Amino acid sequence: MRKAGGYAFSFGPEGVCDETDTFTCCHCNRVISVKPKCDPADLGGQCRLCDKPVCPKCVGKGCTPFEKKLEIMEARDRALRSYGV
Amino acid sequence: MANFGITNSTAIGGGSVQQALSATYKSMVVVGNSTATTATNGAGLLRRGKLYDILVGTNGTPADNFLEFDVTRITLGTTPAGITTTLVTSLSSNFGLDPADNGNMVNAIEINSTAEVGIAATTEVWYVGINQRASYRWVAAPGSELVWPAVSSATAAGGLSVRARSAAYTGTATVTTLIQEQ
Repeated sequence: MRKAGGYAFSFGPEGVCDETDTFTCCHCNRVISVKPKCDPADLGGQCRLCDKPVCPKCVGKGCTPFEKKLEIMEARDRALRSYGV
Repeated sequence: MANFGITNSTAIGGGSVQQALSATYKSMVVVGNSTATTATNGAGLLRRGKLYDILVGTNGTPADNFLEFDVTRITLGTTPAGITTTLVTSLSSNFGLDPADNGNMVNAIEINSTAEVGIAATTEVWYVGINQRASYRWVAAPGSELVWPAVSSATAAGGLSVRARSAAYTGTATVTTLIQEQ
């Protein structure tokens, strides 16, 4: 995978037995393993606004980057704490 | 942006002993914001964090069993019921990776939870199933880390929990996590 978002490998009793690239969904922050030679459609999709990969659960649900979600959560938290809630 | 390494070994001097696995998930390492008891920097501080490296395995008698590990979002809570005995509050400077950093974590750390509370449903952000004889490591590329928000318990899940379960293996599992506070 070009520009993989991560790398995973498992070690068995006989050494490294499995290596995979991963990517992190830009909408929900979920990590998806990329199996070698798999169909790209099985991995999810590519957000055309973020231009980053998204997981199968986020395909077709619009574009709200995870960074934006974090900012919304933190702004709401700051507001509620300022109200004493 | 200080980096920290947190394991579920008790060699650090805090946390509970490693818990035997069962068919339901056990939290082994939890990091996140808590309005009640943060680390030595004081209560009520909130800071965003990133989990960028996970290494999991087992330390029981080798056998062929199936284990599942995951990372899920968790709310540590205003009063972290059920986890207070394992909340590490005074040892945060022991986790720093760079001695030149301040060393104290703002986020709360919990090691080998004795009770499962605050787990946010359907928020599993990382999952792997492996043989008991194997160990597994995931490393995030910069920008692809697992992020938790700087929020209190009132609004959203402000932490991450690394958990394990197995239907057949009843020994203990190990986890090493590397995190970065923003």
